[in-house]
Amino acid sequence: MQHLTSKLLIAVITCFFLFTSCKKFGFDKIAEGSWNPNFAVPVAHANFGVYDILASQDSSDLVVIDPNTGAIALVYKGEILTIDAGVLLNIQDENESLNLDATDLNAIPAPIFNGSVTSNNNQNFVFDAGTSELHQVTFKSGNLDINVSTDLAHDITCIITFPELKKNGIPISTTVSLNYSGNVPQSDNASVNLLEAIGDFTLGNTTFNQLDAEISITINGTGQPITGTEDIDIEFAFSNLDFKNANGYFGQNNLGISGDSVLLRLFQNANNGYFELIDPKITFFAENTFGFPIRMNFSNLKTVNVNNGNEIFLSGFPSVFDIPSAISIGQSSFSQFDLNTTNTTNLSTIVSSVPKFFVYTANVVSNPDGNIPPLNFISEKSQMKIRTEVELPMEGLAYGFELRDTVDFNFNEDLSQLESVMFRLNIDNGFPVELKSQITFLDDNYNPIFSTFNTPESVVSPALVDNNGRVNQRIKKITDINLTQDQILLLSGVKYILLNAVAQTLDGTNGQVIKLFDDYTLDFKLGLQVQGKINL
Amino acid sequence: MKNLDLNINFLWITIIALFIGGNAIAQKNYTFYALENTAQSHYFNPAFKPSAKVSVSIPGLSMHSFGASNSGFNLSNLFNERPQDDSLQIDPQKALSKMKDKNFLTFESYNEIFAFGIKVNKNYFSFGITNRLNASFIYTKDLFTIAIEGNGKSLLGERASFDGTGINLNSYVEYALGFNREINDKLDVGVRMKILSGIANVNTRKSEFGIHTNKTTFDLTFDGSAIINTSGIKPFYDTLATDDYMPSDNAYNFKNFGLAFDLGASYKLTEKIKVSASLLDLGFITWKTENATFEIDEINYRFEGVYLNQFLTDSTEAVFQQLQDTLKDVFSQEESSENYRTGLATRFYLGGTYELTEKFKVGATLYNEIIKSNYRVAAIVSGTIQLKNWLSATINYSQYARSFGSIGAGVSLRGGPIQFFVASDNILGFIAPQNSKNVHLSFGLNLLFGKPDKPINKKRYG
Repeated sequence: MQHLTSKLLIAVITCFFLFTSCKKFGFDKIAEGSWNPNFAVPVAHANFGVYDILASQDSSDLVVIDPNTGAIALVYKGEILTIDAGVLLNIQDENESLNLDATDLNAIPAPIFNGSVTSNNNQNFVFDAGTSELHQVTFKSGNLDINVSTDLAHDITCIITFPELKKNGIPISTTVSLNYSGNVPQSDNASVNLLEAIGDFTLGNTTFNQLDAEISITINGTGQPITGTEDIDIEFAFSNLDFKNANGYFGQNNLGISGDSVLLRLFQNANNGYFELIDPKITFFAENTFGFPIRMNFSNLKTVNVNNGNEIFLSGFPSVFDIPSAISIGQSSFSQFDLNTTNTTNLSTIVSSVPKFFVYTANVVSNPDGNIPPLNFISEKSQMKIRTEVELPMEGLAYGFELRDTVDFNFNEDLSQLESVMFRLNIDNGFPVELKSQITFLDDNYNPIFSTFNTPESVVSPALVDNNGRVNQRIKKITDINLTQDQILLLSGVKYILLNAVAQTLDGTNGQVIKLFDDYTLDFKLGLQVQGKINL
Repeated sequence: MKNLDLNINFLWITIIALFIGGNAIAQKNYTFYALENTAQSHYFNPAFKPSAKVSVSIPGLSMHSFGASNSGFNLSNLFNERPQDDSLQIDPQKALSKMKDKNFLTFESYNEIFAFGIKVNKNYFSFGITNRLNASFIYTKDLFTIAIEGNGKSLLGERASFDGTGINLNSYVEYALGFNREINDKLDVGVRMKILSGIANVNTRKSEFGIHTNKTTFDLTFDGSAIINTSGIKPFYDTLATDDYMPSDNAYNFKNFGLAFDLGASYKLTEKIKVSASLLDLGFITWKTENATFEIDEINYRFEGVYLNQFLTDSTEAVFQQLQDTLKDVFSQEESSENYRTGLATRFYLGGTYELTEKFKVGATLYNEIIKSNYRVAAIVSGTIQLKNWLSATINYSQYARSFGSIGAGVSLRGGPIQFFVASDNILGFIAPQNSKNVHLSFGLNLLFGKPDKPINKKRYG
C-alpha cells in the first residue's frame, strides 16, 4: 500500500507539470491591436407634408387647399402699388398782399381828423393745387396769418371775413386793431387756425380753387391830419395747408407703375428644367378709397429666369383693368382682374423655363375718362392698393427641374480613425415626384474633390398615381452614401458642398400629369453607420 | 466486487458532476473540504472538526482567503499570436467568442478575525468572528459585443440584451457559534449559528435592459427596467451626508441585522468510504441604514434621430433642449430609502472519500450555490495524503467557471502547536494566469493544543 501511495504521488506531480508546462505568457510580447467598432445610429427623421415642402422658403408663401378635393395650389403674393392721398392732392401755401390807398379807405384829406370813416373791400385768393380742381376742402391743418400796417396817424379797426371759409357753419372772421400812439407807421397782426375749417372754393359754383375775403376798415380820428397819401397794407399768408377731405376734380394723372415683379419661390434654387402647370392664374386685386376711378393698362407680362435671362411673354391677355371709384368717403371699392388660361393664350407655359420672377409693366391713370360727374372726393386716408397673386395649382408636370445650392463646409477634426462612413437615406415618398441627387465636395477654389455618386442617383422614387393623377401607392427607397477612408481623409480639404438635385414628376418626360393634394407626405429618415479602426 | 461497484458508481458521479460543472463559475474554498485536520474545515462542514482538543486562530494571523473569477474569458482569450512572429495582438473578438450569454465577474474575501474551538468529550464547540465580502458583476455577452464591435455588426437588426446585468455586493461580519457532536462511531453532525452585522450591500434585484437596432433605419429602441437596492453606499455620493461616515461602524452595531445557519453531517459507510454533506449560509440580512433603492420604471423608447420638423418652428437650442428633456423623462429613476432583506449565497457540499491506503484517500465533491435563482455548481475530484502526522496535503481537479479545469492544492503542516496551512482552488491561476478564469488563495495559522495528531474518526468504525 505504501508503494501505491508513492506511485500516486508521482503520477499527481507528473500530471501537474503536464498541466503547467504550457507556453508562458509574456506581457512584453503584446505588440499591437485594433478596436474596430461599427456603430449604427439614427441621425434625423422627419415627416414632410405639403406645407413643409412647398411653403418652407418663406412664411408669406401660401398653400391654398381646395376644401372639396384637397387639391393644393401655391400662391405667391406681391404688393405692387400703393398710392396715398398726399401724393394726389397737395395744396400749396398761398400769399397775397392788398394795398388800400386813401381813396379805397374813403379817407378825405383833412388837417385835423376827429371823425370816423369806414370802407369795405374784397380780396380774392387763387389756390395752387396742381392739376386738382378744389371745390370744397375740410382742413386738417393750416394757418392764416394777417398783417396790417399803415402810415395813418389814427386808430384803425380792420375786420377780415371769409364768407366761404367756415368753422362750425360760421364764417371765419378776424379783427386787427391799430391804436395810434404817436408814431407811424403802425402795424399789427392776427392769426387764424384753420383746423376743422371748411372752405368752399367755387365762389358760388362758378369756379374752383378760389376764395374771397371781405375787408372792412374803420378809421377813428385822433386829431391828426389826413394828407391823402396814406395807405394801409394787408398781407395774407395761408400756410401749412393740409386737408382732411376734399372734393372737386383731381385730374387725369399718370399714377405711374413702371413695373414690378413677384418672386416665385418654388423656383428660387432652380437652374434648369421644364415646368408646366395646367391651370395657373394671375390675379390683380385693387382696393380704392379714392372718390374717382382708376385705370390700369398692362403693357407687358412675362416670366424671367434670371440665371439665363430667358423671358417668356404672356400673350393674348386683356390689358385694361378698370378700378371704380369708392362710393363715399370712408368706403372702399374692391375689384379684381384675372388672367387665366381662358383669357390668355400661353399662361400655362410661361412658367415652363423654371422662372424665378413674374414681371409685369403697366400704366395707372386716374380719371381715365376725364372730368365727368360726379365730383371726385378724397380724404387724408384715401389710398389705392393693388396687389397681385400668382396662383399655381399643383397640377401639371415637370422634368429636368434642377435645384442647386452650395453650402459652406469646414471640418478639421481628426478622422483618421474612421475606416468608412455610410449615410443611409430611407425615403417613404407619397409625392409623385422623383429626385435624383449628387453631392460634390469642393475645395476653396470650388474645384471638385470627390462626389458621393458616380452619376446622379435617384434618392426619392416617385409615388404612383391613378388615372386622375392622384397618388395611389407610396414608394420606399433606401440609398446608401458611402464614404471610403480615402474620402474621409479628404474631408479636411473640403470648403464647400455642392448639393445638386434634379426633380421630375412621375413620367413627366412623357407628359404624365400629376396632382398634388394636401394629404401627401414624405417620410424621411437619415441613419449613420461608422466603421472605426482605432489602433491599440 | 462490492468495492469495484462503489468505485464505478463513484466514477459516474464524478463524470456527471464534471459535466454539470461546465456551467459553474465559482471557487469556494472547497480544497479545505479535504483538509479535515484544520480547524477551518469546520467552516465548510460543521460536522468536521480538528483533531486537537483546543484550536485558536490568532487575530491577524488567522485564515485569510481571497478569490476572484471571471467566467467570460481569461487573459489569453484577449490575444492572438501573430503568425509571422510570436508577438501578441489584442483581439477582443476572440474574448467575445468565449463568452456565454451571461457571464460573471466575482470577488470574494473571507477574513477570519478571531476563532476558538474546544473539544469536550464527543462535543466540539467553536466561536468565530469573520469579515466576509462577496461581490459580483454579472454581464451579458451583448454588453461586451456592443462595446467591442458596436451595434452595427452582429447586433444590427437584433436586440442587444443586458438582461440580468448588475452588481451585487455583500459585506458583513459574522459572529458564529458552532456545535459538533459525534452521534455514534459513524455519524458526526454539526451546526453553526451565525449572527450577522451588515456593512454594505448592493443588490440588483431586477435588471432588464435591451437596445434594438433597426436593420434598415438604425432606429434605436430602448427597453427595460431595474430595481437596485443599496445600503451603506449612499453617504459616498450624497452631498448632505456627513464627511466622517465609516461603513465599518456597521461591523458591530447590528443595525443591519442578519441571521444564518450552517448545517453539516458526515457518515462512514464503510471503513474506507465516508460521505458528507453540508448546507452553508442559509440566512438573510435586513438592511436598514443608509439605504437607497433606485427604481427605473418600464422603458420603451424609440430614438429615431433628431426630429427635423421641429427645426421648422423652433430654434436649434429649443429642439435639443426638448430632446434632452425627453431622454431625462424616459430614463428617470426614483430613489427611496425603504428597508429590504437579502438572502445569503447559500451553498451546499456533497462529498465522498475513499481511502485507498492508510495515508491516501481520494474524494469527489460537488459544490453547489444558489444566488438569485442562478444555480452554480463545481465538481471536484481530489486526492489527500497524510505524509506525516504533522504534514498533510491535498490536490484536486475541478471544473468550474467554464474553464477546462482547475487544479487545486492545499498543504497543512504543524510545528509544535502551530499549524500553518495554505490552499488554492486553482494553482494554475498563479502559474499560468493567462489561461485561468479564476484565482484563489487561502492561508493562515492555527494554534493547536491537545493531541493534534490523533487520527480523525479513525477509531470509530467497526
